[in-house]
Amino acid sequence: MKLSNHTLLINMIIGLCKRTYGWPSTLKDLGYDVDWIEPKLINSEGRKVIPDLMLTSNKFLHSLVVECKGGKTLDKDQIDRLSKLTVDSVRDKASVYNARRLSLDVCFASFKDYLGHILQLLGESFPILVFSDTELKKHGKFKSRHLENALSNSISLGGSPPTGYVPFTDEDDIDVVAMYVIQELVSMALKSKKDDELKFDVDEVLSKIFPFWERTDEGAKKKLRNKVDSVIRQIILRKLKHRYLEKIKGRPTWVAKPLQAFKAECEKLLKDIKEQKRLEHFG
Amino acid sequence: MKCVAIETRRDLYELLESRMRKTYEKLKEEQELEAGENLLKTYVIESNLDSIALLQKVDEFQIKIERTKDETLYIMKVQKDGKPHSTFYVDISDPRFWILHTLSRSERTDQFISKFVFAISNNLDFPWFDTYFLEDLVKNGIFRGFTLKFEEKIMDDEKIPVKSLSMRLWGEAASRILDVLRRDVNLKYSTALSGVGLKHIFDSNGDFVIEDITYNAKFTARGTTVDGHLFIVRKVIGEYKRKLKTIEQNSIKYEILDLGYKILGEPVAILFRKEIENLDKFLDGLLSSTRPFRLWGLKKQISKNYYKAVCVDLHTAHKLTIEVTPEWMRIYLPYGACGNTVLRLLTNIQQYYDSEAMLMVGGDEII
Repeated sequence: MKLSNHTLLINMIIGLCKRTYGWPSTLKDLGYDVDWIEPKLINSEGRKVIPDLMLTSNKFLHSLVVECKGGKTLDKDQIDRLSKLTVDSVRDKASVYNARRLSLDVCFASFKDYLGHILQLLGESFPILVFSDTELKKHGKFKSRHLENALSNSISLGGSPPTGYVPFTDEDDIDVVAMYVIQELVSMALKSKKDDELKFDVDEVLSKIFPFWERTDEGAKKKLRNKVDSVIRQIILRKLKHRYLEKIKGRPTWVAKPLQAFKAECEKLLKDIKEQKRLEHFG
Repeated sequence: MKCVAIETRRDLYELLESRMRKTYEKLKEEQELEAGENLLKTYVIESNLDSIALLQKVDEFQIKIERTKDETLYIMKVQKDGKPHSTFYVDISDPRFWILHTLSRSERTDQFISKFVFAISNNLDFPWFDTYFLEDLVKNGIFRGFTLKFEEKIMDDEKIPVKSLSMRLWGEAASRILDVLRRDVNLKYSTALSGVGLKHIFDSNGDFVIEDITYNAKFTARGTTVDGHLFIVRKVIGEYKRKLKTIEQNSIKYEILDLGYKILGEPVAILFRKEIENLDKFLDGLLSSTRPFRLWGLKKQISKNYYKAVCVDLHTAHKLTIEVTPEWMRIYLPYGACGNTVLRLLTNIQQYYDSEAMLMVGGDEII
């Protein structure tokens, strides 16, 4: 299972703002917290911008807007909108003790392998947080001297980035989403009473496994629905619901065997998905 | 045993007080109890049920719940194969932690409570006292001894130096012997406490209570004051609740607002002193859906020494995500899930893999 680069970057930056064991807390140490994920901001031209993250340090009265780029391409219109963000765009959304003194940096985050491509498109107009397997470096200059100082030397990362803050997004592969779908189905079966009918509704499952489902835009919802629907169809086609999940529900006594058997079947299913042996079935 | 009608807490108090004094006198004079004269035992159970009426039948046991005049006190009469088996006085004044007092025989009550709590997805669980918690309890009284129980259940390998270890050490030298065991290179990861004994003196008149406390919250009492016993049970549960609260305050919570999304909380971590040599095998043991961990899960390798697993706690059907390296495990507990899951995992890792494993919250605070 490999998270998409975009989802991984979001998790890694959130991790820097938290006390995540085995991961540096560089931004947390500067007082930053994750104010918003995908905040809806208005730039100086009155245009809407939705960056990936807005982090704010109450300690240093500074907001950091981060756009995560896990690939080689960049949307020029998005770059243009981001470049027109000012402190007024974020002032009313920041959790600080004195919003009048708030300052702002807007940056990109990416991986070392893509830095060259990104620089070709961005030039030096934004500072960039550059991640590799082992370290975090900055490229360019932040207005905040505290950030500049903290990132002046590379930060060692330790190789085990957090992946659980944002479990997946619509950009992630079906095998990533499938694990969470299967986990939810087991939980649903265990919570059901013996006479309950086990119904797997795609939207209901998504509302339980994807924390931002309620306000996700329709395009992303469609992509996620297709993935979840494919997994549920496979569960039913392979008779896993009938053979195992129906046996788990409403049981007052221990049912390890069907759970173990279901797990083995699901591991096979995940392997099939990954290897795309049955490509035509997976949307 | 003569049947006494219990209608109020006062009735129960009198029953427990008289039984405690009587058994203590008997033990003092004759060093043993006669058949039918049993020590006062108190089991604590963590409940996520809305009502005691929702308790289900468990295997061969039938449960009959009787009301008293106090709406927070019930009598639970247990039958096995249609015959009387045991009786519990259930105090639900704390709706999350039920306190079950009993004067029935220990072999029977232990057997019933184990099946009762371990039934799948029944919304009941034990409080789980890890080794460090048990050691701290002893600081509240005079240390009498400990029981030690370790069984390697995850890594079934010929190279394992200690496959199982059980020991009961009572007396002044007990803590020194424990220190010696913990300095031994082969034994130090196998010294999980499964119980402690302590004596608490309450006043200058000499009122005291001797408590044996197990890792899953069974309290066996001797002494001269039932007040002392009740005090210790409540104090220990109070400490445990503080620990649970710290864990649950770190659970991962998402807020969806018009402006965007918020994320609160952070994972807690279990740190291993005994490095995991084979993560794949470790996770197979952990996620096998069987005792002691009772976790179902799907694992995936992220990199050479880094795995992720999405899990379901089979006690509560709550979901959790873990990330594991040879040195530590991160646990993302979703908001609303029970912190007891984390403490059960920690306690069982100590009992069945690494007795020196410890829990870390907030990146650097060991609790």
